[in-house]
Amino acid sequence: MEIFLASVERRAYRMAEIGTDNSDEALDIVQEAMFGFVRNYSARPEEEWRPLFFRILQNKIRDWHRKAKVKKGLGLFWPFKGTDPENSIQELEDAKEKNVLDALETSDSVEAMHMAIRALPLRQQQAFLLRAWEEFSVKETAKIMQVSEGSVKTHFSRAVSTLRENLKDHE
Amino acid sequence: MSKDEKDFLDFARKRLNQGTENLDPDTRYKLLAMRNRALDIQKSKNWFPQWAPLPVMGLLTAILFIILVYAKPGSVPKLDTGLEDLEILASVDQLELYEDLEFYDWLANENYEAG
Repeated sequence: MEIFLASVERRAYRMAEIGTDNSDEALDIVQEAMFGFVRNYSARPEEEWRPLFFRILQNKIRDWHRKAKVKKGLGLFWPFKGTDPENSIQELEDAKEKNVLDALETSDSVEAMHMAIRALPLRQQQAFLLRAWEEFSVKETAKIMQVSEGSVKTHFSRAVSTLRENLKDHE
Repeated sequence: MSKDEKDFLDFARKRLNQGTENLDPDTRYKLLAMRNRALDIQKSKNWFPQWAPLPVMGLLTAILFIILVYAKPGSVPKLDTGLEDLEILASVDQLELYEDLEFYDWLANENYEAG
């Protein structure tokens, strides 16, 4: 179990950090995913661990987005600007509105990659990271994301197309 | 998948891997700490099976119920601790009295017949 967690923790953190654009929130999400995984699935066969862990992680990231949207909605009636989730989601949307290419020109290729993925819609982010980085099959990715295989193909294809366009100067 | 697309995915994978190798020490330490906590949870889970709380709670409830129903105050019988016997044995004078009890009985009868 220790070897498994050590092998996925950094990638999980990076996925959560890209998904939330907030390192503290990302750490919380990874912690919840780890604890939930060992509590509920550590007795399962080892070959099932990786897809199960990433399924929990992706669910946590989606939950975070849902809560952030609700908080943002409530924030319209609140005169003070909130701290973490509200700002994060606002910054995320602001970043999407900006011309991503302008921002990418000043950053190195690793940071450029993070920024470009961060600017994608959440489903495209997940499909891209699970398929391209974790190298899950379409079927496995569909199970993890709890969507159809066709939906995974669409999200992945759109993500690759956008990223190639935005990162062409960094390849 | 075209060659261009495959090349792009290789490029993306390398950059993402670099991004995890270059994590700052503070984040790496926090990840290590949460991994250790997760392993502690797993150990405690192995020691105390997940299904265990239900029967254990049932048993404890049953014991508590029995105690509350049957153990009324004052209903517990006094235990014979043998303290009274101990007092008798500890008293040397009284023991001699008991040993000479036949003599005193005979003496009393003699006095009664004589008187």
